[in-house]
Amino acid sequence: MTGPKLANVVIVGGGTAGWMAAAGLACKLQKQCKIRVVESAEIGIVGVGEATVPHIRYFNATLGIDEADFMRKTHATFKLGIEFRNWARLGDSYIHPFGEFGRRLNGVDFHYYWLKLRALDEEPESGIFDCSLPVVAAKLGRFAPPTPDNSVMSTFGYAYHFDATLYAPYLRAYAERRGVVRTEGKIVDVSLRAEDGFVESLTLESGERIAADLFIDCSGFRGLLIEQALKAGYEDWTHWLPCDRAVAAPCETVETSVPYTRSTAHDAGWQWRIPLQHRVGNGYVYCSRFVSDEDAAATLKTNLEGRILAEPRFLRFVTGKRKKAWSKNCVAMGLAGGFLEPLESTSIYLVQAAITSLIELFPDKGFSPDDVDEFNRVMDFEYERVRDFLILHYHATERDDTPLWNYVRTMSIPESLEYKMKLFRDRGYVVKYKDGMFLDRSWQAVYLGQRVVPGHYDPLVETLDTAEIRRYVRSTKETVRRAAETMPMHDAWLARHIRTAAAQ
Amino acid sequence: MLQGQIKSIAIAGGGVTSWLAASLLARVLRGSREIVVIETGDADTPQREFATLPPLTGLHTILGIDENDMLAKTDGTFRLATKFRDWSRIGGEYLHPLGETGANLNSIAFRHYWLKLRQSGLSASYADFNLCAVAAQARKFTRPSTDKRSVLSTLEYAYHLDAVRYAAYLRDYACKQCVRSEQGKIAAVTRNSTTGWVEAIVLEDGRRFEADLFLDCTGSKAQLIGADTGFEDWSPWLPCDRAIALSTAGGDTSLPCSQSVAHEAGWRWRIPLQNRVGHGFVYASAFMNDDDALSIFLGAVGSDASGEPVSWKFTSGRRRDIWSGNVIALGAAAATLEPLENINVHIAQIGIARLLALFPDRSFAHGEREEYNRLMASELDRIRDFLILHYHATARSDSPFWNQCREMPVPDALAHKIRQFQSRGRVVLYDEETFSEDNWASVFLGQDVLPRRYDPLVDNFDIEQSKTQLQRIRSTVRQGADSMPAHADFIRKYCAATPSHSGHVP
Repeated sequence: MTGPKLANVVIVGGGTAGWMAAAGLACKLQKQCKIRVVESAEIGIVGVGEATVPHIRYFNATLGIDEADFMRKTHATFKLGIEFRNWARLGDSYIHPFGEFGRRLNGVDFHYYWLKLRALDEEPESGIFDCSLPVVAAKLGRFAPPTPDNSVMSTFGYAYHFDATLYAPYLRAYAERRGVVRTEGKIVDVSLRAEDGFVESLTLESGERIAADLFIDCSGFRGLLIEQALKAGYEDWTHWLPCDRAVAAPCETVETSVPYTRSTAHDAGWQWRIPLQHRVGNGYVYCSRFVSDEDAAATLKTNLEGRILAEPRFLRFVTGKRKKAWSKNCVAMGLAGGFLEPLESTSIYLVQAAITSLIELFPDKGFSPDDVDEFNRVMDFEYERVRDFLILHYHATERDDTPLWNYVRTMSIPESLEYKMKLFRDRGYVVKYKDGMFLDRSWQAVYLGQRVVPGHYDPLVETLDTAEIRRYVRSTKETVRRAAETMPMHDAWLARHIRTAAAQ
Repeated sequence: MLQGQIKSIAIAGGGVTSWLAASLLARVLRGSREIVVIETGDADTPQREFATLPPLTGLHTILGIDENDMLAKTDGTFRLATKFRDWSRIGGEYLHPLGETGANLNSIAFRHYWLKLRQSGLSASYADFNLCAVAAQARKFTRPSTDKRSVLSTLEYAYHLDAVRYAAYLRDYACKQCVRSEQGKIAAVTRNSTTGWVEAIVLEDGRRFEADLFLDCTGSKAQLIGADTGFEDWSPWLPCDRAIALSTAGGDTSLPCSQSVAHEAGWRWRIPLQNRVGHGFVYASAFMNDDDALSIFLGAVGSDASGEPVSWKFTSGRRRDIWSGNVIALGAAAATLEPLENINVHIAQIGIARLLALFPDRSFAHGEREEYNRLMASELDRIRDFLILHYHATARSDSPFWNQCREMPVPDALAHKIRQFQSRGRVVLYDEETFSEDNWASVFLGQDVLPRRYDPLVDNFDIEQSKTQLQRIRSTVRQGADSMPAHADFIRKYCAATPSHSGHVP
């Protein structure tokens, strides 16, 4: 009935995904199987400066990683949200925070009360963002961790910006302490078992053959095992998310580090700005149909705030996902599993989701198709729900100044997103779901930030009289403002809790 | 926007569903709308004694109802579990308790430890690690502790209630909140010739009730919505289509537990109240005739059978569109199901809660109907699957009824759940689920769906250490139960039935 336990796991590729997988598996399964990472120093890792979502804190906490130590060694800063500039209109700006907008009252979500005041013209267009503590704190450059009480200080979460080229080595040290063996070498051949097509072994340039029961493909876009050997197939989403290249370069910091990522829309894509302790990561994600590599690099350089610190690096990608991220005895993670542009900082989250699901469904030598089917079902949900959320940013725009924006504004979108957008447009209602990233408050932030203005709001708002609603919204803003102003400056917090700790 | 508001709501029916809807709407809408209940004499079913699920306590909190007072006036008792007998095999018995089972050790679901230790001789049942189950068997009860460190915080409870008295109790509540009530039989429902929406309910005496929004609480007759919308028939999976109910005098406050005993073509229930006990018999007419059913039922109830049995027919299924035009079906008008797992009042409750989350205006044009129907359909389908599981996951082969249930193909969503549980004890939960991971695991294991594998992470821990941990949990649970008062004493002390409501069955 139950097969014997897996004895050997080989992870192919030592980038962020590979070492996250190694650390995650070592933490949970080091007593049960041997874990080996095969990586080649010749093949660079894609990891640029990485912005994350709050889930990474649970990953690190599960591993038992000390936050201050981790932040110090990866030059990390705190992140309360993402500022989007020029997305719905040129000149627009809003922050998608990791947190709530006010609190429900009388069973009705807060944003409906705000929508009523907005309909009465008593509130400015962006007024609801003043009801979110992480937004107000981010704008003031302030940070303090949330508290577990029921106060306004409990209404947000946070994530990090860090140097991904340092996170992988950080996790490598963790994994190696727990018995993970690293093998340096370039893979020149993958051999499949004749009887069932399972991956049998890898051959390195040195001639060494490495066999294993389970292979985890973290080899990046090319999908060395999952695609080149196993032909799992790829679902192409570029008709919805047409950007297919990026050019990245770090630059010097010229201002104090702010606790948020910035995403600025350009003519043919958007540019990220990720503030680290010692520098700023920048990159322009663009659509090669609408801009040349040279022009993209020029745009990036023009939009750097400080001196450029390295030659721009180019990346190419195809947005989409592997049809079966788990096929036979191979599970693909990271870029080998699929690619979604880093607009909402989901790359590391998707690796984390794959690791969590693999551990929950960890196979034995019998490789039950039940485990494979369930893993693929769960991961498909994850990718599709992130995908819809990203498409929303592009599609909900009024911009008609360039071919890219004309294309995304007028393209047809997935039915699942069409349905969600219609309900928000009609009555400010956010469709909720259990599996997959992004809570309703994230959807609210991006709908309102992208100028998807509801025609109506929950009629139950009228149960309270307008004066009461006015008082409620005003007092929310006041509470948020006061809490934000009492938080320390982000730089000061970093200096006190992260950098000083290093000196000790 | 103000002139587009719903100003009036007419609720047709008069049973528990109607008064639950009237009470909650009146409370949340704070008198901003006119609400009338038309008591047409159509209760959800003739079932007099019923059991509930835990979320109803939350609804009482919103209403501000004093639970002790409510139980005293409805002859009520507490429910900590349901005991199932003869479902998976004749003689097989298990408890489906409320609350948590075991404890999450090292971020691994408790059942995996239990599954592993069973292989090396652990004899304790899964329910032995659940405080509700152990307390129910020891006939104990107390309300949960708010102190998270105490095992008493893992308690959860529901009720056994008298439907007529509970409806009356909510009626009093609603009428104090300015809900109007009218009595009469429905003669006609008039509709707008262009939109097809309901304009008015006309009673036999000629009175006419117009409203902006109509709630159909007329049970499976679905007198308002029935003509509009198709019915999705679930009888291929849930073949029971007849029920008989009977009350016996003399209550039972000892056992905070209902019972469900399978028989050759269905099952029967026992629901204990303070001053009487409700019995019911559910069967499939294709496999058992009415006379046999009645005599088997009366034989099982025994000599106490004093009252007159009532019987009714039903077809399991749900409306295709639960909200159609300006009419929303609630309770049995939305979905007709046998009272297995005590889901009927809960179905009414989720229907009302979703209406409040998607409250329309008079245009009914903002997507709320489509979303309401999508959410209700998916939650009802998940409830359906949970019920089907009880019939399908059986080893019984003693009658054609059980052979059919065991061999029938089940809906895909349920087939996937069963496969995942059988394969490695994984509980798959979809987007809209009434029942929790613990509920599904209790029924899977109770019905002898035993996973082939447990979570391999359990093997990270020394087996002796796991044994000790399980023993500790078990003794903590046992001590917790020991520390609780007897259910009968708890009832006597806090919520004894008021004299005017005790005694005879009206």
